[in-house]
Amino acid sequence: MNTVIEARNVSKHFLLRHNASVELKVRFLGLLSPRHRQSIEEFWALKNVSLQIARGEAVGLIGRNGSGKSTFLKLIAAIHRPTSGRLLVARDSRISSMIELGVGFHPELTGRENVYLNTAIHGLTRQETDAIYGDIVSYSGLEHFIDVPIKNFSSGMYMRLGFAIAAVLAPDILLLDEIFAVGDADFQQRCVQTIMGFLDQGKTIVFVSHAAEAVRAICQRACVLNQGELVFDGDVDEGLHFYDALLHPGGHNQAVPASHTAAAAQIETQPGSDTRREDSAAWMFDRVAQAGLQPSDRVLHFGNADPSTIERWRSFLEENHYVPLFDDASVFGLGGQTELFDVAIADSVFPFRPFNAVARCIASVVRTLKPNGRFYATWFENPDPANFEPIVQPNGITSFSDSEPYHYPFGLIANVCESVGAVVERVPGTGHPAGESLLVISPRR
Amino acid sequence: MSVIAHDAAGPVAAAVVPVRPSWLLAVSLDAILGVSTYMVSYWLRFDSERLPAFLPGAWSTVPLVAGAQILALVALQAYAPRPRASWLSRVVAGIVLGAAASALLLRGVQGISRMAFAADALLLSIGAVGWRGIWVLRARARARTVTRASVGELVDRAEDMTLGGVVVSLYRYRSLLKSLVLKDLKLKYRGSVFGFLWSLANPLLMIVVYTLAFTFILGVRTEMFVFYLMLGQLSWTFFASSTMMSTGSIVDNTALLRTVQFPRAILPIATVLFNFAQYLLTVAVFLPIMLVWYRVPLVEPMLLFPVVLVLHVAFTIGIALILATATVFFRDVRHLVEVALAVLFWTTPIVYELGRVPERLRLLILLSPMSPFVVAYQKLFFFREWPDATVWLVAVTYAVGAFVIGGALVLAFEDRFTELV
Repeated sequence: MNTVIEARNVSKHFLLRHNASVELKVRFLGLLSPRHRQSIEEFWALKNVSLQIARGEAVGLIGRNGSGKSTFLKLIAAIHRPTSGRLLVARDSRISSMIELGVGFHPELTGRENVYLNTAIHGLTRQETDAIYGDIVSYSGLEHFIDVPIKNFSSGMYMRLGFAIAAVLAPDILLLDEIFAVGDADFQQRCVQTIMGFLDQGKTIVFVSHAAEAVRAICQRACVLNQGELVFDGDVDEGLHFYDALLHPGGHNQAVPASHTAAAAQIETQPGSDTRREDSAAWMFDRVAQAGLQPSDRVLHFGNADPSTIERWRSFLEENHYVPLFDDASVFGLGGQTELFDVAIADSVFPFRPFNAVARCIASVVRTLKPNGRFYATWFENPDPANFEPIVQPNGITSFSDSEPYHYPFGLIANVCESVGAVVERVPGTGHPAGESLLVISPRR
Repeated sequence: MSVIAHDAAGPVAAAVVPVRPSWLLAVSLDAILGVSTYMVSYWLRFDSERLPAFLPGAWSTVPLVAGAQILALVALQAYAPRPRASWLSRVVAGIVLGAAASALLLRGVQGISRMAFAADALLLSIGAVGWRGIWVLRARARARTVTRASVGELVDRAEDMTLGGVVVSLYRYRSLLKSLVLKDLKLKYRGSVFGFLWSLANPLLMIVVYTLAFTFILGVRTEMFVFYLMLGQLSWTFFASSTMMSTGSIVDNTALLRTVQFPRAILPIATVLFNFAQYLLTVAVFLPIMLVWYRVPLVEPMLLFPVVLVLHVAFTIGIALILATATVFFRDVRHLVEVALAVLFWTTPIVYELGRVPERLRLLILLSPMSPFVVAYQKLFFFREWPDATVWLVAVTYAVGAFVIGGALVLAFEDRFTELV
């Protein structure tokens, strides 16, 4: 095996300094009174991790937040040093990291000057940069803006330039950290294409992500980290299942096989099935709680949920912060609501209501949200868009079929949201075994 | 492949124990240094006519002084087999304590110089910390060679960073250094109408103020006072703004540190070179004007100008590296530097002449950090003579000492910068 990255019993130890201060004053005070003394908590970000990565391999590092994935990436990039053990990489291999795109750009400098500065930081000489400068600019598609100070760039342009530099530098080892969490669909598409291109050229890729689909698309091998320990190393599909089981110990979707479509087809035949609805309400609770729901948030719950799920919501949130609504009419009646909601939940809304009602529900709920609020909705992707052809009525009005199956295409939902001033995104990595997925709708800032 | 089983044992703490010099070697090196710095202090203190009168006193007290310093070092555990990170501060504290104790013991004895004790403590501290710095650098280099042999085709990049010390990595990253300096210069003048003229205006204004104050208010009538002042003021401005800016050069670049790996020493060095570029520009404008205005004849000593420049830059880089590293650990350094610079300006012979300082204080003024360089510039251009051997000795000691200590500090601690900023 032609090893390019080798971790030998790597451990990384961070000291979390509570009451920490780099001021001398506080250090002197600490000598006198215990109240000012800093207490040091030891934290092992990585424990005895050993693995080898061969040339041309694409490895996905998966794990919860704080499991040590990013730390491991930074150890490979030599930004941090292991506390013990050794992290070795192939001699003379060029490592390019897309850990934080565009960091290190200076806002006052133009795009061109930033490109030269950034490549110099990666150790290129001016001549080497001259040779690839044209490629970087054309790759980024920013020809017209390259001589504009970068402070005038949009965040998307910022990232495009950062990505273009990292891509054109043609590294031997590419480190990617949650790159799909940012950027528009177009940008993400481009990332995937570039990464696939690198794979074809036999480059080595280490990829950190929460998004199961992205990991599956890029990697053949997955390493699961849990609390700093390497708990799984092997095939990507097995790894993702292992990770899923880790996230939901004893959960219902742990045992569900990958055959999503079969389960979906079986449920489609009985759309009114209560089991499916309850299932998705409980599932949503987990997802939303995972996305950072706070007990102080005010939640508007709109849909049919099982009493036990409602109880979970009530017990999680502070008193009077949970407002359940069980029919469309009460949603529309919310116009006079004085308090705004942080989070709105709509389970099983879209597949089971006529299109007009869906559009009006979205509009009503978005209006009741705080400016930084979130609206989560389960959504059943239309397996066949042909089922959803617009119908032109004899009187010339265009409408959509309200007879089953009428699961709406994503583009249509996006249009509805746009018309009410909101943005809709799929929450990555949330495929419900029954075929549903989760959408997040946020009022446009 | 399968699920990975773990043994119960937790991660083992780093097994790499830094190699310290044996105590015998350390003690003898310190003793030799102690004797020589004490004697050199006498040589610096007295001119050649008065020196013979004091040499017997110096020779008779040197065993006591050096012995007291070694004893203090032993007492403060500077030779312990595994002292902690405070190693260097123990060394400095021991030397100062030893010098102070022997000065107290010898109070009232005739034929010795009290100033020499201060000079001895300062020079010995630089020497003792300096050789320890070189030792640490050598030990790291050797450890790297051993690693290389054991890991074959793979390398440990974080360790590889320090290869050959600061100088080699500087050369490898010269393009980055150039880019950083150019970036700062561009940003400084971008959008301003007068651009570079501002860099000239600042020293010009200071010279006007001091000239008014000294010639018209205090009534000091020195020939060519403006020229004299300019030599000191320009080089001081370079040093002062470099050290001020260098304190933030690492802590203010968090984003860069967290995403890319490169020799961290580059950042303070780029700050110094940015200020050096401006210094050169102001010198290139003012020096010819002054030489022509005062009809100063060109003489051979002026050829030494580049040598003094190199020493001055090396010294400033060393101080910048020390301050940048210290700021990572104590943010107070920034404020301390501001105060220290205000004091140091007046302990440096910029607005006054070293020759007019009372004879017994002259050594202390010469040992003020920037003095040897300022004095050297003044000797070359104003007095048009070769600088004394004492000036050279102090300048070279300061430049090499600061550079070695600064380089060793950055290399020893740069691993921890990312976690601490």
